[in-house]
Amino acid sequence: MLDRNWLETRVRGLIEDEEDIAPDESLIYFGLDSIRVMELATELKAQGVVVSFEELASNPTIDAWWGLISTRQSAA
Amino acid sequence: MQPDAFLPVAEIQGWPWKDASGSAVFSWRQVGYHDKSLRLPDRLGRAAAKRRNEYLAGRCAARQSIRALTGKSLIPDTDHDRAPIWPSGLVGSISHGGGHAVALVGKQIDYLGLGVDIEPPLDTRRAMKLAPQILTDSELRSDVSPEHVSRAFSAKESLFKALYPLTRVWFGFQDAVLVACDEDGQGTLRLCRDLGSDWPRGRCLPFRHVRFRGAILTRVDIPGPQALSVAPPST
Repeated sequence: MLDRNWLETRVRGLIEDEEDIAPDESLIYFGLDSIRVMELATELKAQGVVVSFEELASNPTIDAWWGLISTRQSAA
Repeated sequence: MQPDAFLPVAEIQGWPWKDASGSAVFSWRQVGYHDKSLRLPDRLGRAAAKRRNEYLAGRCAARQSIRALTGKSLIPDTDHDRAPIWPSGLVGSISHGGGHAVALVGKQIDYLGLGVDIEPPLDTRRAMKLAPQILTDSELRSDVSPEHVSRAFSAKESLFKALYPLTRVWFGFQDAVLVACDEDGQGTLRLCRDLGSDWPRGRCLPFRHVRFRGAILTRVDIPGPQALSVAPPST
């Protein structure tokens, strides 16, 4: 099972930023681009969590992403 | 026209396209923090230096483009989603990638929408990994070279940036296909989803692509009413 800690660490890796990111802050402000969102969607799929690029990209915050991931994990 | 007192003016060497739009390129290293007319949104104040510089380089490129087009020195405001708010009568888009920021700005009388995108080309590993997301199933059956996957990615980004301000309908990489893409820099995208009455499934839009300073550069122009109403003179 993926936990929220995993997501936060992964997001920091994707945006190459050491700073703390508020969980409701748009990650676009931290330079998150579509390629990185796609990479995350691909990694999640490999872990058995199917979340589309569009779902991630339309609301790019840690809170929203964790909401999607936790719902999909419990449904699986 | 005001000379730029603070920033080195970016020479657009080799900018590939000449048309009714204004365009500019800035390297993020060219941004000067002493230029008090450039303001960071509060939320970016905490972001890494590279992010702040990318943002500012994009704003510099936008200002330069607007000046080239109108003679006025204006910087677009920033919407809540970081999208630029263009001065009245203008449309445009900003992109950064590979250490460069580019802006493309046009008059609304000439363009309904303009989308530009600059990307470092995807390496083979990333192109293979991401191709199923960037390309539709039908596209996956044709060219999946890293160059083509990179072009498709960038063209679809440009399409989104040109079209989203008009439709306000969110769409993704699976909602358009590249039906043509030649080596001379021309291509065609086709919508595979309805995005409103003016933008039905099946509608085709041209795009252009080029290699620019090592990066992939694409644009989508949506002509405005003026451009469309110009008919050839009758004889």
